[in-house]
Amino acid sequence: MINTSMQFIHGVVITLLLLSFSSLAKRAEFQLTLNNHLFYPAEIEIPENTKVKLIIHNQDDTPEEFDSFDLNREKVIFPQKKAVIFIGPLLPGRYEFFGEFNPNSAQGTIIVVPNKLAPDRTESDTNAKKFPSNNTAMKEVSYVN
Amino acid sequence: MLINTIILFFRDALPIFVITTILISLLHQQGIKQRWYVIAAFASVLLSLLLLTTIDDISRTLDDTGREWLYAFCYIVCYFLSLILLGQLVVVNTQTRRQRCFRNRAVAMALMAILMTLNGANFLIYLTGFWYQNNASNVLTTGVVLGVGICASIAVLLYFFMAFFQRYCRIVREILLIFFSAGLLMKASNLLIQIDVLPSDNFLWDSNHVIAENAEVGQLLTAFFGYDATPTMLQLWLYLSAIMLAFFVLFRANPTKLNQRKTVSKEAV
Repeated sequence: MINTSMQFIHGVVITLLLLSFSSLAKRAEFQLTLNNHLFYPAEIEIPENTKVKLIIHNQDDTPEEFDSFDLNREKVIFPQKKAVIFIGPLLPGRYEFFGEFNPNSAQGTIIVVPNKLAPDRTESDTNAKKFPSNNTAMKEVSYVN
Repeated sequence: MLINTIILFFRDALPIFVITTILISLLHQQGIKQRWYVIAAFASVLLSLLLLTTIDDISRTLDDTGREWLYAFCYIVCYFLSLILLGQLVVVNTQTRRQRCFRNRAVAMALMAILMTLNGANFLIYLTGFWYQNNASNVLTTGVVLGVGICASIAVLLYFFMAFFQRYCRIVREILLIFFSAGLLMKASNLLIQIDVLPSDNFLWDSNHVIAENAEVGQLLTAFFGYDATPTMLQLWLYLSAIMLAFFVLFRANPTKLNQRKTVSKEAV
C-alpha cells in the first residue's frame, strides 16, 4: 500500500515538473494597486485567450485578500507588500474581483477584450509603466459606493 | 464587518469541523479514544501562530509564490494521508489491529494538525490585521462566536447524518473522507494554476449561476466535496482520478469490507 502510494507520489512530482515548463514562458504583466481599501484601476483590460501576470500592490496598513469567483483566484496580500497571480486564458467578458476582507469597497473588474482590441503589451512597455496610473490600456474608474 | 467575519470564519473553519467530525467518527468506530484530537488541536494552535509570524516571509520566497507552494504541498500531503487512512481502516480482529490503530491515530493527528494549521493561519491573518482597527475587537469576537455556533451545528448534524446513513451505506464515512480529500487536491491544483505551475485552459463550464461558489450552499459543497464552479479539464481529470484512486485503495485494502466488517470492542486502545 505504502509502495503504491510512493509510486503515485513520484508520478505526481514528475507530472508537476513536466507541466511546470509552461511557467518558463514570459507573461505580459499588469499592475493593480490597493489603496484605502480600493483597487486602482478598478477595471483592467487584458487580451483574450492569453495568460497574464497580475501584480497587486497593497499600500494599506491592513492585509487584504484578492478574491474572484469568476477567475477562481484567491491570494492574501500583506500590508505594504505585493502579490503575484496569473490569470487566463479567458474568453471575452467581464470578470469581477474583490477584496475579501473589505468586500464593500475593494471591488474591480477584469475585462477580457478580443485580441484586435487588446493593448500590445511588451516587457519593456510593462517595465516603463510600473504603475498603471499613466497606462492608457487601463481605465481608472472611481469607486462609487 | 460582522457579516464578513462570519463568512470568513465559516470559509476557513467549516472544513476543519467537517474533517474533525468525519475522523472522530471513523476512529471512534475502531475504538480509538479522542485524545488524539486534543493533541492535534493543541499542536495546530501553536503551528498556526508560528505560520502566522512567518507567512509573510514565506509568501515572498520563490518569486512571491512561496505561500501557494506551501499550501499546495500540504494539501497534497493531506490527500495521501487520507489514502493511508483509507487503506488501513479495515476493522477485523487481527494481531496487527493495535499497530494499525496506532498508525491510524498518528495519520489522523497529522491530517488534522496540517489542515487546522493552514486554515487557522488564514483566519488569524484577518483577525490580527483588523483587531486594532476602529475598536473592531468586539465585532470580531462576536463574529467568531457566531461562526463557531454555525459550524458546530453543521458538525453535529453531520455526525448524526453519518450515524443514520450507516444503516444503508456502511462506508458513508469513508465516502465523505474520499470526497473531502479529493477536494483538497482541487484546492492544491487551483493554487498551482494560480502561480502558473500547472497549465490553465479555458474553464470547462461556469456553474456559478446554478450554485454560486460564494453562496451558503456553494461554500458547503466546497467544504464537503471541493466544489468548483469553474473547473478546467486538468482539474476535472485530477478530481476524478483522485476519487477513483481513493476508492481503489479502500476496496483493495479491505476487499470484503462490506461483508466482514466487525466492530472492535469499545475498550480503550
